[in-house]
Amino acid sequence: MKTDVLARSASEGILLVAEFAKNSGSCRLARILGEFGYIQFPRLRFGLVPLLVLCTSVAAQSFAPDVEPLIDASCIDCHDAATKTRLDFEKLDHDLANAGTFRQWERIFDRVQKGEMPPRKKPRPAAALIEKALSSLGNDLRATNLKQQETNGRVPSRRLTRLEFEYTLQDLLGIRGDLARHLPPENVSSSFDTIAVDQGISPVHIRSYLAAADAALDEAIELGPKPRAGAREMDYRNNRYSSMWFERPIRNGGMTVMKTKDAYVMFEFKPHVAQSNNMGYEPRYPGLYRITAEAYGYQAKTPVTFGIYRSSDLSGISKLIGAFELVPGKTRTIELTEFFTPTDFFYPAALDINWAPDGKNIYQMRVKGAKGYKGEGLAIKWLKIEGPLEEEWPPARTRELLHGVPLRYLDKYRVHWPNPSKEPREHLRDIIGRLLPLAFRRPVTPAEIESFVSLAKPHHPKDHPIHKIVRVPLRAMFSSPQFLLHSGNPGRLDDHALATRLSYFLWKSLPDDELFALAEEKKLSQPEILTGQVNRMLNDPRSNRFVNDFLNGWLGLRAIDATTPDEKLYPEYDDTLRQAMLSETRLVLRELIKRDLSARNFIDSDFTFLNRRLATHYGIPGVAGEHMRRVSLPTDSVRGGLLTHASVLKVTANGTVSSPVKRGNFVLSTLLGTPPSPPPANVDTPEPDTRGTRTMRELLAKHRDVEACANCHRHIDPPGFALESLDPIGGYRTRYRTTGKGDRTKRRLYGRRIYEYREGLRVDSSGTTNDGRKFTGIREFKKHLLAHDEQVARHFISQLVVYATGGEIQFADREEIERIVRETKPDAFPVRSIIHQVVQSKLFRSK
Amino acid sequence: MKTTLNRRTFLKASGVSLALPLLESMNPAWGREINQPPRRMVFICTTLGLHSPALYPKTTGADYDLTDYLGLVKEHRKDFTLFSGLSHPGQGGEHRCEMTWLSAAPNPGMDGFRNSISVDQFAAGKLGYVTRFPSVSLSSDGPISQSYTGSGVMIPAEYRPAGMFAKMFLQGNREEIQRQKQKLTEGRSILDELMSQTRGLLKSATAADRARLEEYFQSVRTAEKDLAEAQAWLDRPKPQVKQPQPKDINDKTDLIGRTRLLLGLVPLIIQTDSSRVISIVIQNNHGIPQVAGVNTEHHNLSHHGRVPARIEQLMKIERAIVTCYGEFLGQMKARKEAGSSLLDNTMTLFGSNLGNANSHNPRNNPILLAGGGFKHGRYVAHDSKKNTPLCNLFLTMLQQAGIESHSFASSTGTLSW
Repeated sequence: MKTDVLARSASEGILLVAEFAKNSGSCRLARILGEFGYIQFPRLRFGLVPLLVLCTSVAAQSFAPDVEPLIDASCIDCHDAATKTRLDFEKLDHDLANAGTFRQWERIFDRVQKGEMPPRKKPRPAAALIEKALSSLGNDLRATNLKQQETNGRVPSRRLTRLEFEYTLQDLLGIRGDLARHLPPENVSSSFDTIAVDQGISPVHIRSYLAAADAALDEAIELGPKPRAGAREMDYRNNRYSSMWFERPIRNGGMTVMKTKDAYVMFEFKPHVAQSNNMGYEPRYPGLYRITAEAYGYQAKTPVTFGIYRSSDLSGISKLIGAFELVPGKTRTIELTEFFTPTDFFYPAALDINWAPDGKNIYQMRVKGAKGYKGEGLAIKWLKIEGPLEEEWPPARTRELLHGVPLRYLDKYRVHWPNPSKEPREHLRDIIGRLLPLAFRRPVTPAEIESFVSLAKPHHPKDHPIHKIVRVPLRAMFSSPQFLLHSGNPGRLDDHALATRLSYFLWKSLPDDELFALAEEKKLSQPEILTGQVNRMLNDPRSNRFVNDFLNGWLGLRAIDATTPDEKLYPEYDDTLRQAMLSETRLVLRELIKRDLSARNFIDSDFTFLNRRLATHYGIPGVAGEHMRRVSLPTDSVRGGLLTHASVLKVTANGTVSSPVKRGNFVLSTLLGTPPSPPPANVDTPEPDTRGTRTMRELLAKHRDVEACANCHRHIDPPGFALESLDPIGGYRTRYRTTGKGDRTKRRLYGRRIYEYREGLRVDSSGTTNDGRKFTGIREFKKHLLAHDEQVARHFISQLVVYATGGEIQFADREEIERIVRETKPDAFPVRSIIHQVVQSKLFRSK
Repeated sequence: MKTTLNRRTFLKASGVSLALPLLESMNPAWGREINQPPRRMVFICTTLGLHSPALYPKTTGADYDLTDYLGLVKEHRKDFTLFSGLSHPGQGGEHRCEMTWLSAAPNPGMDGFRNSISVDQFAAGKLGYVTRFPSVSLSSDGPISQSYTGSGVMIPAEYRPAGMFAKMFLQGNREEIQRQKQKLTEGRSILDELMSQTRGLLKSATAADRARLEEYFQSVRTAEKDLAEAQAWLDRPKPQVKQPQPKDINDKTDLIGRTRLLLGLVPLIIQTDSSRVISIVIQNNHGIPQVAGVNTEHHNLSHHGRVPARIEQLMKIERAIVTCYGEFLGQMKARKEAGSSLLDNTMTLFGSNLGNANSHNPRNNPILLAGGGFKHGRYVAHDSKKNTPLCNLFLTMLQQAGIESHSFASSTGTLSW
């Protein structure tokens, strides 16, 4: 009786969660729940009818007689018409062509196979009974699934993600501007942006594509007068604006900067004083610009970081584009190249600067200001900017786009202008004829070319020149379904579709000339040529796009800024640390790919990538400078493996506290690919307490006492406990930081005492895994986790397939995944080999 | 039964496309689709804050004591509510929080920052092309506005009142209209072509891909309709108003004159139903504002360092700005539509992204909300240590405007007072 009530309220709770998930558009949650049979996920919302429904002619189902004995013996007692669960065998038919029915039977298969059903407390059915039922049901599930894959393809055509749209137009037109910002954000609840069924297309998308194409063409077609050669110096020492702040009283925002006989010196993060537009400089054309400067750490006893930010009010962004470490006593010349557009500006910033030895900061220098200050600062001797860096003018990209149209300079109007050498329409044909096959990633017919050429009608007598009228067909091209959607027919992909899938997998962009040519010759589908191309592509810097985007989706690193670390509890968090965190994880995956190292490194590893900032954060001595390099970890280090990366620790915490539940769930779902069931609704999650009275672990203790919670939390909590010794920004801790009662910390920050937080309660990172292994902390936990390397590799392989093909793993796909697991196991799952296996697999090579 | 004559019906029936002055019998301008005056939203930001000791009374509620600044708008006392303790969480970066005042995007100025949709654009997006301009962004200084699209791109502000007036009420030169039409025609011809190509693709697509193409097709069709609506506005005659076109004040140091001109446009925009969402930035970046007794830049004075003489100068500028706001409320009250005043139907938020410009403190924003059908007349104080999200007020305003939404940016609920 009591359990009945509990079961009902739990199931109502789940329904509520499901309802919430549907309403809030949380697709991932809804999808998970859908898979669990809790809800029928309304895929129609995306206009995509579940494939199975469409598949009408399926072979007669033969599994029914083989599973009935098992159902009668072990299931029907609970799962009949009177059931409180979601499964009622009296209602459930055997029509696997129905998507909902298919999912229910798939779920039944999994739960019986894993031994979760019948429940442990009930008598076990005979092994033969189970085997027969599973084999028959499995066969039919597979056959049904394969049949519909043959008819419709495994995945519907996916569209370019906003990032892919940007990279594609950048590569196609030789531009670099930020185009993704014109497009609506992708569905954030989905792990990868590439998953076809989660991708929407709305009128907003269409308008955005037109606008983004316009912006791309603005940058691509540059016909203005040739920019003046040479560099422009930002003369901070004498500029009217910056020097205004030298004498102005500190309480009016001045005197935190000064000039010495050789340099301009700044003591704080103060953008506007040395902001390039306030110096009267604005980039004239979009393009690459080179910034060079000479600087040193002023009064520095420790390394000072010279940061440079790019920002724009118009595009509403800011970005740290360079961070250079200045060693005490040495002057350093720095150089960086960055893309700027005319509305951008940049500013230098002094980072990592220590306060004065007497514990004062610059603002306390009320009378003397910077001149009397003894703290560290950034001294810039000179700073120059040069650009746009073009070898010819009008730029090569413009000449290439206007394929063969001669240009001449009109002195009177200070502009370059087309000087057609033949009929304008012929020129248009040349331009579109060159771009269209590239944009559509396949050969095109003359009729297709003509349909775009004919759009280029002059609508206005003054707008006749080719570079203007060509914009209309080009905007159409970049908003067209052939450009936006991956094409391909069910069954094996043809060479062009394969080239497209491959280049969007590893480069996030269109096939280059070599891939296109191989597809044209129908050679790409030959396995050894395909292997050669994968190697070439992985060795190309464009594969960084894959590494970054894959990690953003898989580990959720795109959420790195979703929370801001509390400035009292984590005052050391800053932009340079943030960048180093992200770089570490990206460089580790790159290294595993480059050297074909084992996927076991995801769990534990004897190396990582660090610069001084991150090494200091991790407490690892002997790493100097801002550049990230491979570092062998000391044997007693807690570091090594994704779970101890500051980036991962940050995205699994909320900025103030870390939750063992969230991190435990990350280990189960993201690393192992065995997500726990979603929590029932109406349960109170413990409210974190940073006053220092109770730890999250204590607050979670009640889970262990409530049976309904304990079932899942037995799995979730232990990995979370193991990670308790790592704080929300990835620092190692033995005590929790608190803004309430606690001890003064002995640590120092910026050469001063830390007054922001205190050392609170002790951390307990010990526990027992669900399979009964004890651990005292993260290092021992990782050793236990290594026993599950096969599961980690299996999930990684699955994630690669999902990412590359845009479709979740289906029942019939499992065989192929298992084959890759089996074949890469002898070499301990080497990562580059896994990528090769994925590309060669049936799943990758069929629609 | 509704007897007021619809302006556009009238024009259609008369068969002429002459612009006619707004006649009383043809009021209201919004008569096309609704019987009640629509609810409008106006957001006004003075970006350097308002000196809080001169603004906030000691006591809350309806019988608060008049302060220096509140004394300047005392005739409107019953028409506005004063709030304290509201702000966006996670702001900073000196003056960078100017660009997030209407969007609440966290960490402006820091690495990885990206702005998000501002409340005015959110509202405009929901309302669509019911008016000639889905939204209007104005500034007293330059093209920098606080209006950002969903992808964090700024919508440039109009800072020349004469230009704005021309866009709203003057028929414009032929060439210009032609150019706008051309752009829209191009867009429509592109979309037409895309629809026809999609039809072709649909013939050979598999069932699964057909669904995706249908979705694409429908989206193109809707986008085309939107362009058609925008184009239809080009063909409709613009409303005529009695006021002459204002003359721009080119001297940027005449902050008050420029502000007054901008605010003077708002009643016209509203009464002619040219737009229902307006955002205005009041600032003057360089130069000494022309206010009697002021000899230092506004920004410089905002870092007053608690020096009384400097605070006194700062307050002179702020008094002039608050007075402008008061005059604006007066105009909004004086103009009537369907038995109520424009102010009754227009939520006007006036405030700042900085609570204390002296220390660039982005918390405790000064906020006054007037009109819009809310109950007013009180000073409502929220916790000054633990601020309430300003987005709660934004959400309340959105809902009051009839826009269905359960949240906006950092909102945690709505406000009632």
